[in-house]
Amino acid sequence: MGKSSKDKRDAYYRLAKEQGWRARSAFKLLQLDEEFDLFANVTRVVDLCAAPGSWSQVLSRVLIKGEKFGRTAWQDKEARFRQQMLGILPQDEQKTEADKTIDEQQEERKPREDVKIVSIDLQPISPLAGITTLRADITHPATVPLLLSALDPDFDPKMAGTQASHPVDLVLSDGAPDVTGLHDLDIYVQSQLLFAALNLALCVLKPGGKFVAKIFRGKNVDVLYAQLKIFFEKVIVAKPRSSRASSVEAFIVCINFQPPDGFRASLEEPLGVGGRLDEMLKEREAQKTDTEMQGAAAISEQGVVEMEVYDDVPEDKERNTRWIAPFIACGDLSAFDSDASYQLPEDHVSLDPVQPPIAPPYKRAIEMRAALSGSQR
Amino acid sequence: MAQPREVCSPATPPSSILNSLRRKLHLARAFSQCPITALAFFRDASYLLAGEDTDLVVYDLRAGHVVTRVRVFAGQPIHGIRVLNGRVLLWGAAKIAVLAEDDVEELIRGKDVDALALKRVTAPDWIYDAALSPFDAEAAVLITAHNEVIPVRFDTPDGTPTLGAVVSPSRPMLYAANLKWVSDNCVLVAGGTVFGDILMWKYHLNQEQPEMLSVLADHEGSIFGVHISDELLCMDGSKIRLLASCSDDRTVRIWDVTDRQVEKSGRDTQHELVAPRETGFGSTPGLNDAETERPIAVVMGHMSRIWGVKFAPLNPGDVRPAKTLAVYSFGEDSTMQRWRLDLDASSSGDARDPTSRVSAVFKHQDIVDVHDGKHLWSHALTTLGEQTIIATGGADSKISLMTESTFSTPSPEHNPVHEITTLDLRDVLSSLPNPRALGPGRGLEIIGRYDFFSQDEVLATTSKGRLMLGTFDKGLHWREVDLEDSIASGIQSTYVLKTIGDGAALLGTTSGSLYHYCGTQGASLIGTVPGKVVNIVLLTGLGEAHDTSVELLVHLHGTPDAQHFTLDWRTGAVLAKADIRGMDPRFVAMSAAKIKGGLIAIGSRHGWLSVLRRGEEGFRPVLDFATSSKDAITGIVPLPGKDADGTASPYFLTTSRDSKYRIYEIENADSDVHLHIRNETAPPFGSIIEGGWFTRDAEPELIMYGFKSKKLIVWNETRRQEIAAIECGGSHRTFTLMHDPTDPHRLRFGFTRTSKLFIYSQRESVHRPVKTGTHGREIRALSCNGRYIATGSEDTTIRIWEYKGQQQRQSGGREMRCLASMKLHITGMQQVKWLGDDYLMSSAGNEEFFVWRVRRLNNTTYGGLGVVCEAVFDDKSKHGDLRIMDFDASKVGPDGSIIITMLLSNSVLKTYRYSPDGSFRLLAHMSYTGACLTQVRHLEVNENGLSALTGATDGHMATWEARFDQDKIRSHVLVHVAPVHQNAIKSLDLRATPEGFQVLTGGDDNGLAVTSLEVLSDDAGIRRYTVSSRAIVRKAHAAAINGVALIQRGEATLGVSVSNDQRVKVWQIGSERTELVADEYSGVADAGGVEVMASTHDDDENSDRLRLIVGGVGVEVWTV
Ligand SMILES: C[S@@+](CC[C@H](N)C(=O)[O-])C[C@H]1O[C@@H](n2cnc3c(N)ncnc32)[C@H](O)[C@@H]1O
Repeated sequence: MGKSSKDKRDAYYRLAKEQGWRARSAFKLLQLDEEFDLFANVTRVVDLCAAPGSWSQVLSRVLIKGEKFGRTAWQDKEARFRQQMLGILPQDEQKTEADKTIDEQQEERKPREDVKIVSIDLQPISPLAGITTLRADITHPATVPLLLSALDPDFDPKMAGTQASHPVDLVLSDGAPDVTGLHDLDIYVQSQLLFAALNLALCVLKPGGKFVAKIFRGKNVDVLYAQLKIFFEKVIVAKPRSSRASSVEAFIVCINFQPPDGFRASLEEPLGVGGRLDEMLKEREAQKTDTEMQGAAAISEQGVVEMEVYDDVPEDKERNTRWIAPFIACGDLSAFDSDASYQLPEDHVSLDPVQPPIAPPYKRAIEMRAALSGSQR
Repeated sequence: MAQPREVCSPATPPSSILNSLRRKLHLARAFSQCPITALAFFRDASYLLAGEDTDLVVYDLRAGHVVTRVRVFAGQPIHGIRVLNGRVLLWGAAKIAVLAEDDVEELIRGKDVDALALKRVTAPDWIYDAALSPFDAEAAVLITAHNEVIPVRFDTPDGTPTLGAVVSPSRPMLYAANLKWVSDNCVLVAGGTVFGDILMWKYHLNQEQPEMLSVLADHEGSIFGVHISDELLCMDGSKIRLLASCSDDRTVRIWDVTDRQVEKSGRDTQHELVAPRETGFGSTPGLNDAETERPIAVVMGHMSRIWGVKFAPLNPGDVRPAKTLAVYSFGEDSTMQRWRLDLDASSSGDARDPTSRVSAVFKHQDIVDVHDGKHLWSHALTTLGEQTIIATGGADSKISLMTESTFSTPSPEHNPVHEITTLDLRDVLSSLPNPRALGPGRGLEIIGRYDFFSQDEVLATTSKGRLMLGTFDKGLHWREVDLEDSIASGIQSTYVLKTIGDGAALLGTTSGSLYHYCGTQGASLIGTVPGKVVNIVLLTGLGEAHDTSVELLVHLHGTPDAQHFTLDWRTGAVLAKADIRGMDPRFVAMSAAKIKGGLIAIGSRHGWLSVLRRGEEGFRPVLDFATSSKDAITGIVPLPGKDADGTASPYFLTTSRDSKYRIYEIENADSDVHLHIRNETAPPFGSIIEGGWFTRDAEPELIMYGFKSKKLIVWNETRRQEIAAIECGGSHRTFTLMHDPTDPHRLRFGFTRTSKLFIYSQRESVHRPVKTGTHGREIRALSCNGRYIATGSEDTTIRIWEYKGQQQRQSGGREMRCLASMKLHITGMQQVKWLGDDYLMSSAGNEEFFVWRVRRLNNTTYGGLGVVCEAVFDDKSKHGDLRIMDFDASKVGPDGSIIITMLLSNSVLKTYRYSPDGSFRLLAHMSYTGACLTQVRHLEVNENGLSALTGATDGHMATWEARFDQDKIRSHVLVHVAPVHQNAIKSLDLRATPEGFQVLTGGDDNGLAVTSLEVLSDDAGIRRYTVSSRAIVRKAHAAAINGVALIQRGEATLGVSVSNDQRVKVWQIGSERTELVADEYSGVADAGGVEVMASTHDDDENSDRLRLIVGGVGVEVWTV
């Protein structure tokens, strides 16, 4: 697909270029922040699976430079207008939003102090001012000490074990494997990235901290939700408008880190393999009444009646403990729609991406094939 | 805007009230066609074991059908099967199951599958490979996705496997692994990592410490397949071992992994592994004591990622040194490629001197492309005597079997399945005892024209007037036919040689002479025509024993006029002769056939069809018909009729070089003849179709052949199977193909290349399907019309299926039979919908929208459907680059008009009037908010206007109204909009109720919502609707709900939902409450939708059951 047709097909691709982001993913983080206020009181952050680095850019601009981003960054003015015309936006929402926009513009830049951001990826990340970037596999055991020493210059791998002495407020992971198409393998590899991120979070996150990670909503995702709930007070699955409805991707937002008593992250017994988590869950379940696992009481909103479900279908004993996290769509309704195509003005100039895409491992194969077919002609 | 009436939250009834319906509801999977994820041969390749989703399926390879099917895991596909020493081990993700070979044997003999003694255990992690020990029948090892080996033992009292302690030298994520037992207590391990390294290590039974051997770090992308070879014998008697690997970088590499026992420095690697270090792409692993090595051979293959690579197993009896090995690779591009690896292995070499070691050269041998779509997920190889048997399983749920000769020199009695014979005339002549002496004549003598003369003979002319007859009998044996001098000099100018019956041929020369030749009578001149003979076309097929005569046309150079002959094909006696006159002067005949009512159809080089009728003065055209092809019509074949003589079918088929075949119906009124196109299809096999025929079965199958790049492909369109793919260098002007009349798999193909004659013969198809498949990509949309199911896939094709009892199978086995496959869309499908029995519509990206006419063909025994694209939507936006997300269509009025409302991805809805002449007229359009509209249904339509319902990515449902105007394009008016879901509405179904409609929607938000629509007013004929109540089950599924269906069953309303979480759920929807009444695992990932197929009245006991079909990655049929 050419640049220009991609601009039309994908509003966020175009916006990212216009606003200087290395990837359209930046909007996912911005929209998650808008819903969950992720960056409130945050100065120390770990960004996992961060290449090409648009989330790190967001962190840098918000935390280091003190910039503010709000709906204006991704709002489709035309859509707002049409929504008002068609009577879709309730009156009061229109007003508060208008206020908010003004607030945003008037606020001053407030750079934060003692900001520490460490970003990790398998791929090299072009340098970003004020950010420590590391090239590493987050599933690899050697990455734990690597991260700890990046966070704390005094760290000694031989002495300190696996717990950060200066923990962080927020751990992000946007990790995704190169999907194969064998669905359960892809889901497995994705869950391993999630567990690797969680494992690192358990080493570096301070109690009360937040953890946000990409998740594939596929088979057995409810097992993952239940397991994450062991460590956090609130677990919500969020889908930003900038993430396509046609994609299985969503983000798990885990708030208020509360490691179970006596729990220690361990390299020897990493999460995600073995039955450790499921055992912990079964134990918890036995102790607690069911209210906890039922999730937050759902609110009846805008006249939609919440239906209770009478579910007496017997549970399969072989199946793990499951729980479905509440779902929240974020980025307001007038955000650009990542599934829609947009008309662009006649004189639209398609910009080059901020960073050229990473060369794929089969680049050489493509070049050789091209050379071969060229020489035959 | 009108406000909807709010409905108060209903009081929730006590949960003790249980509805009796639930207990009656039994949701069962009746049929499934899922990706084939594991394969293994059983009992010397008499049987094949296949992992199809959760089930182990056993195929009898001789009989070619399923013997039995056992569910192995509750909700987990099988990823691997190993058979050894009386035991069958299966695994999927972290789950393991074992059973005895004898149990499988029992199953094959028909023992009840439920009584099966499957023993299961769960490993701590995902498993990539398992190896049963050849040394100890009670032992096996597993390797996990984190490079850990787990020992397994089976000698427990009840046979349940027990897992031992996990051992690993380091735990990076792997994408592939392979295990090989090298002694009774040692296993060689190869693990391929995400970032391109291969870790070679040894696992010693009962030892905690693994032995790291080497890190092979040369690939540039993730490793997707590794295979450790058997030990290979060198010339000097020493042994070597190789490793094959394949990767995201599109290469296959071969490594020398011979164990040379060098002194190890003995450093502690464990500590270094947990030391802080970078591990990403391009960083060097810190394993100092492991040697870094280079591959001994590298080759690039496949169009995309390579999922697997295997050495062909060595023949256990073969004790000769290894010189050539066959290596097979299996790709995302759904092809299998065969490589020949020539080894230079005089000696295993010196451990200290790498230059003295083995070297190898790769050569590409063959590409086998018999699966649809993407991905070969599974394969099995075995060597039996001089044959290697390979089975492949794909994402298309097809299993294909192929037999190849091994590279070792064949023994004389070896009778290959296929072979190619080359004929160099000089060699042949010099081997003849006494070739006829010819005059000096100029130039080299070369092969002229040729044709297969009978099942076992080929007849050829030479440029100097010889007639040569070759007989196939363990090779090809030639003799020269004795000819009188006068005939020999005539035959020298032969331009056409055509077999007209079994052992009889006609030769036409540039001077207009026609010679007949048969074995008993020899050659004779039977007539002359006024011009140079350029073509002879049989009108009635080859003469056979019961025929007395054949009819044929002789075409002349430079004129469309031709001669019609009726001959006694045995003797060559001319029984009748007629002129063909009055043709358009531009007409160049290519093909012809006798069709219904004694008419003759002739096809031209430029795509014209001429239909001729016999009059007093000979044949005269009664219709000149421009087909939609501008390319040559290469063949005309009448469809087999239902009458005993088989000629009276009103249809004939044409094949064309424009890559399509077409079926026409002849309307033969007294004076006028009309042709109506009933089918137009581009079969998938190639770009140039050269001809075809129907088999003589009770249900005739359509076979076609043509050229695709450098190969001639013979293709069974009915079964969608390739019969042969013959490397011939590309499209040829002169070639000849002969098939056995009763077995289309036995065939011969002759072609000339660099003035040599090549003859390819096959006894049977090189590969044959053990199981037929479906789309090889995700099904994005499906629709049922009671009888047929239409599916639209990411592979851009639409297929039409019939779900029916299998022909060959007992026990009421069912299959999805593909009746048509249409490849006209060029972007991924969005939607397909039937409108009544005969209209099918489809939409995709790039504003592609097609209207298809689908008819059954009557008065023929051919079972294919007639499918024609009646119209292509052309009212596109300026750039024509929007997706048509969904549409709805309703018939209105007596003239066959159809009102179509479509949704474009830029938030626009448009309503058209479609007329059967193929035109679209825009009636109304409107923009929604900018959010992408995803669902549309007509609530009411008539000539004057419509009322419609839409759903969008913003989670809102909207009702619309439009009035149509003769002269003006109108706007749809938004009647009411209401939020229902939090974000995209991904599926929608509705049913009429006394008050209006009940709507069931599935969202990306995991929610299942029930919405009621009520009539607001019907002042001017079209009723307007508003949303009167909304209710939602928030956590109906754990993931997006991609398909819903509403079913009325007696008093009860049932809702069905399918989701990315791979559960199929049935809900009872009451006015007060909604109840989950069934919840089952589904093997269909990435479901595209669910449809009600009809109740199962046509078969057996459970007549009131409903059938549902789910499509996505695979298809499933469920009964409720
Ligand atoms: C969707 S991209 C991240 C985009 C990033 N958040 C941004 O805003 O630019 C996913 C990244 O995950 C990385 N990744 C995948 N597996 C990884 C692993 N095992 N360790 C580290 N990074 C990994 C990939 O290299 C890729 O760059």
